[in-house]
Amino acid sequence: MKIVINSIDYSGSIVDGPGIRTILFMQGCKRKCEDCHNPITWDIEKGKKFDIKDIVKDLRKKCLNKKLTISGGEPLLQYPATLELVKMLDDFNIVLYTGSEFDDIPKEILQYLDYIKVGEYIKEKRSTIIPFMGSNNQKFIKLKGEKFEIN
Amino acid sequence: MKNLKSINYEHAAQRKTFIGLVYSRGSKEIKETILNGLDERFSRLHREGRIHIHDLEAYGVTYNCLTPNILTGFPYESFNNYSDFRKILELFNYYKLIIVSLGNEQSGGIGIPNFDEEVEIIYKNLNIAKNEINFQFLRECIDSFLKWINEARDRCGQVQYYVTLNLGLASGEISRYVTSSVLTCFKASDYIRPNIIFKLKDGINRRKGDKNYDLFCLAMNCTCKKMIPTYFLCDSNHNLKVDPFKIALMGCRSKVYQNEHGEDTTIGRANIVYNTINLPRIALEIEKVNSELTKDEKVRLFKEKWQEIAEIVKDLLFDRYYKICKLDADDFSANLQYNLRIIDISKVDSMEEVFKNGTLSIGFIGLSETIELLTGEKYFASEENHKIAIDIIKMMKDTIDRYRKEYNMNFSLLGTSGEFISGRFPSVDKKYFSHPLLDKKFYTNSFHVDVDSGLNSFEKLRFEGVFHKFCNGGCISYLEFQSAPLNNVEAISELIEYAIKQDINYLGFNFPMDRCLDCSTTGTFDDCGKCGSNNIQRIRRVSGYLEDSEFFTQGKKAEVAYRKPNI
Repeated sequence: MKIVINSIDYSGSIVDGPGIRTILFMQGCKRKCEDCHNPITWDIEKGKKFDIKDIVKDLRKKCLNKKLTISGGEPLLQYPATLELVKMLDDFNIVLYTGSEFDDIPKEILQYLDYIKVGEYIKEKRSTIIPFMGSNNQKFIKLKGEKFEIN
Repeated sequence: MKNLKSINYEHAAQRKTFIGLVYSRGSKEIKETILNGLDERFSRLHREGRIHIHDLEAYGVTYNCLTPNILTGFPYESFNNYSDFRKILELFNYYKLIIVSLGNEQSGGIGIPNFDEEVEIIYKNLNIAKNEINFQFLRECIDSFLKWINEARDRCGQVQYYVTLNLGLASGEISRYVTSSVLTCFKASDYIRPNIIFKLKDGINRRKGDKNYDLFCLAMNCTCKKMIPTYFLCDSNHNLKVDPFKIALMGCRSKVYQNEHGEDTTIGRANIVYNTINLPRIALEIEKVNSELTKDEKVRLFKEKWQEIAEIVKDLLFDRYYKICKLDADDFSANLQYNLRIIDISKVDSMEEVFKNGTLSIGFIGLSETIELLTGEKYFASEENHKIAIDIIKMMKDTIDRYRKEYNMNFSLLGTSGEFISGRFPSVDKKYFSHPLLDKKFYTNSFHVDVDSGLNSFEKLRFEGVFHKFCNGGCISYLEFQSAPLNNVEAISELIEYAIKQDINYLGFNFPMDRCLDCSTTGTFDDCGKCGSNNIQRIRRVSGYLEDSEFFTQGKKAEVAYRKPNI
């Protein structure tokens, strides 16, 4: 299966989930939030198409601590590909950044994720003082473990 | 007549007061007088910017910094009849008294080696009851103590005390309470001082299941918000054989441990003096005069020239050392009165018996620029250049070890923090040389990779880690974040674990720490993230201590402008 991505950042982020994280920026997003920090990822036609297998191979080689944040763009726009990817990385610690609300997310993918950040970015609610989030309305939710905890 | 506004900051803890003005002018004149009185061999090197004689005004008058032995001289008997509250108050008053007295008696900082354990021992010896109300009061006194260190500018009429609290190892009930109080109060406060160093040791606090693991987590939580504490990594290979209770660091990074004249320990011992050699200067000279040489020949020549300078610096250190050895115990009345030293000053015939336990350090700055000048490339550009860099630092350490043996003195190699000289050296060098490297107006700290290297944290630690074991006079590696790693203890913990594997001695995390002066919110922002105010204080760390960037020295300002995050 193919996946359309913008880029993979291996420099190690400390603000996109717990730990030092590699970021996979998916291509394509229809939300067009005002002040989006990544507008070059909006147009899916401008992305790079890869076999998921090759992406997995690259991540296994370079992301040594196995902590991956899937961001974008909107990863759920390519839901089948994103699902396939997280299934193949089931030994990774994965954070998914989506603009969707929690209730709108297909349930099947949740079992493969460690954390999920939900809610769209709202410029008026912008915050630089809440961990891992862009605006006050968003939520960062821990999924693995016995029950869901809201951070 | 100079007015208060025109005082140039020589270090960022300085503020303007009347007494401060008198001190500044006085120390300037004393420096000049001392320099004029020195053997020309020494003074010329300093004036030409080949070396820097630190704390010149203290030449022949006092030593640099001390890790006092608080416990031997504690006057338990004078507090016998006091209430528990009064005893707790007096405990911290005693610390303050020592800090104030030493602040006036020596030129450098004060390190408390095991703050947690010391307080527990004194608390118990004073027979203070262990109950909830006393514990509550103890916590309040700790907070008040931290607040005082943060705010007091009594020293020289204008300067904050450079105090470092080492803690984290002791596992007694009160010790643990002290550590948790220090960290909790510091995290909740606006304080940027004292410096706090968390000592990390397997089996004590490093891993889940260790008794003080919870305190380590608390420390990392505090670091995520405040950059403090920093971490002394007792499990790094070169620290493994050392009893972690017997070793402590100064917040500026100075390390005193090996002792040719007594027990290996930090407690009760001092760095007597350190001088720093301007490494890029030597490389600039080679570049100008011997540019036809091959890379290998240049490196060889560099080593020879460094050795020539080190030889003079060694004599200079001795000159200063022997001058203070001739002083009397009375000239160091706080050391004497509170019995702060490894040996009892009241019982010695000569101060040499005391000071011979101290260290004489030879420091360096600008390894990165040096390698670039000698090879045309950064030392982190290739394994080959990295090897050259290691080879040079090893040569320095070998030379200093030879001095240690030959003269039976505690010589050590220091990765200098270079608060003032990072700007002074390139500005002097610019008078003699023109080179693009001089345009950025500062030299890179000790062996650090360039602040705009763009290396990620893991790479930076890998490149720098190998230098730590050579710097027995102290060194630190910093990781630079773009913004505060809010709540990201996991990231801090991953990096600390990796740093231990890379043999890092001392590790700190830096990030822009902005504080809203209207609503006290902290984070990384232009305008306050909470109330929108633009009344923002910008706290940064360049060399050892956190400072308000408004008061930085020129070299520090230049460095901050060049910084790029490692992450």
